[in-house]
Amino acid sequence: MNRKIGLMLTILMSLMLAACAGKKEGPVVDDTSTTATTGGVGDANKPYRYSDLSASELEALGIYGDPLNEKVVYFEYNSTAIDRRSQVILSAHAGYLADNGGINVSLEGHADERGTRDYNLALGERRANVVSDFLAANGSQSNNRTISYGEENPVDTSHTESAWQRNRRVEIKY
Amino acid sequence: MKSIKGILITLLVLVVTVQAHAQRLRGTAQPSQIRATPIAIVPFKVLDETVVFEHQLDQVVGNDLYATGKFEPIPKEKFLTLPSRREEIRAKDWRFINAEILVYGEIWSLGGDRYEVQFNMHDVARDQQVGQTLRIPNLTKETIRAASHIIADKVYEAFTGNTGAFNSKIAYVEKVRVESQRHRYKLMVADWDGYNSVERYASWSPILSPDWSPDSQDIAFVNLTSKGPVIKVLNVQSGNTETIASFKGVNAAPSWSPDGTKIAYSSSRYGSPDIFVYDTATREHKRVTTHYGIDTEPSWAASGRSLLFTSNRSRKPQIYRYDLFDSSISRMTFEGDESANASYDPQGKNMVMVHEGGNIVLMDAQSNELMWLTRAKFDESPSFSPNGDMVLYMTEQGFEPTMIVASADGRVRTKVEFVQGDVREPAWSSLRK
Repeated sequence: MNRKIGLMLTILMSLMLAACAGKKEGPVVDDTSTTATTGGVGDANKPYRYSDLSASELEALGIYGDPLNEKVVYFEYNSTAIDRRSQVILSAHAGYLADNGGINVSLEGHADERGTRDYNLALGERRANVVSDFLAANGSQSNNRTISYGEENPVDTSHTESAWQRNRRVEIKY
Repeated sequence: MKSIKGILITLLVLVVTVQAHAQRLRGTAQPSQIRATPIAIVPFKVLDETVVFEHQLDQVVGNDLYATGKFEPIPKEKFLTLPSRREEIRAKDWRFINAEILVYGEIWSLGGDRYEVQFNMHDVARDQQVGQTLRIPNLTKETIRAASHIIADKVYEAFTGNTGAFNSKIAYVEKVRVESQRHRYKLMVADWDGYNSVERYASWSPILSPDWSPDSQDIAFVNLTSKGPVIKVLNVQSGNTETIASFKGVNAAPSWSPDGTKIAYSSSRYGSPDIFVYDTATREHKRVTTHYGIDTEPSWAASGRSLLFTSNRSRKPQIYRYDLFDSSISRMTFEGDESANASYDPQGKNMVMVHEGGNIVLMDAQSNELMWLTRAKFDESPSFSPNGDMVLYMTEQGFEPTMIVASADGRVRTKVEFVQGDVREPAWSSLRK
């Protein structure tokens, strides 16, 4: 279980990984297109403007199409660690939000039904805050607003592992 | 009342024996096996036979007493006679069905929609009336059911020496689907058995964590707003609310101090959730914990000297205690992966908590031994009855949210039958004054 990894250590590692990923290739700034979803770079190995990964690399992470279209990132139980898939998605958003400064972004943190409701309010907030920090650390110029819904707004109310996975999330809204 | 106290003394030997026995068994891993006292509650004789009441008082009294685990109501089909007065009692009829306590009485019609209940308690072994005839005046068809809870309290107090809790209230949250994607969250107040439920507050966004003030006049609760979770205080009588904590971040888990002057809660206004104490007179907020982990779910000891709270400072949520006098913090739970949402009973003998994510567990405050009240996966929101003899909590039965009252000795579990729908977050009030 990922919870065994220290929380702070996990956040630090996530941020460092993301920083490394960012250094390989800075954000593309020559394209003035404001369409969020188009790649337009013309590089088959790097089809999307705000990601360094190829389509197949993205698919390996469960991302089909432009990572900028992904508006939800998921977490392990009782964890706030940002996994590889989330890093790719959030890096794309950070890149877009760096190019388009001043956008108001709402980050809504959620928990699964396990654990107590008040604890899950705190957990949902931590997840939203970690996402906010990740975006900022990766150059986002957005105005982030975090809000926690705890376990109160599940997307799936069944008591299954897959439902819990879908419910442990931060929704990125802008 | 005086006569009941007199009887108390005569029963002292019995009570002391039972309590000593209870103490010995408390804290063991299995629910105790002390025998419940067989009690016969005779259907109350309605003197005006043309009057029909919606509820059978004897049934309600029996349900009340059964839920404590200390009484075993005998089915009335077994009764040989149905006395309503002293001279109609033949002790052998009741010894025959092993009744040890007999409760009987009459409902008087006083003209119009006015009734009075008169009832007696009888010690079958001694063939003696316990105390005097008690009268509950000024009843109507609408309110007469509440007389049952008064009767149950009197019986409970006479034979256990503990204060009855059947006239207390519960609060809970009901989620009602209005349209496919819209829900109404209602803060409900009801009798302890879920009857008489009344909506006291409603919101389009989630309500959680209700907590009664010690005088049962107010309920503090969390309401998710567009600004995030805030803490409000509802005056139950007037329906007025006041927001007491709407700081940046999460404001959650309010808990009233035993003297009613303070509300402890969790706030992340400085980054990570810490415990704060709000003074209801000065309206000042004092921070009492400063850890970078999650600190939440504070709950006061009856003395007001210390606060239990949940913290993940050792990675997983566990229960800690903060001493308000020397500011020391000690870890209370070590067993299992997770413990959360703990609170003391009014005597400070036990604390109840959610263990391993979904079991309701009691911990003996002296020995730290655990007793599992439930071994389900999704049980939550435990709260003690104001006399500490019962625990109210949520479980799920056949995918339906179900509210349960368990006797604190683990023997008996009863469904809070009048509460239905998508309910959650039950909270037991203090004793009504």
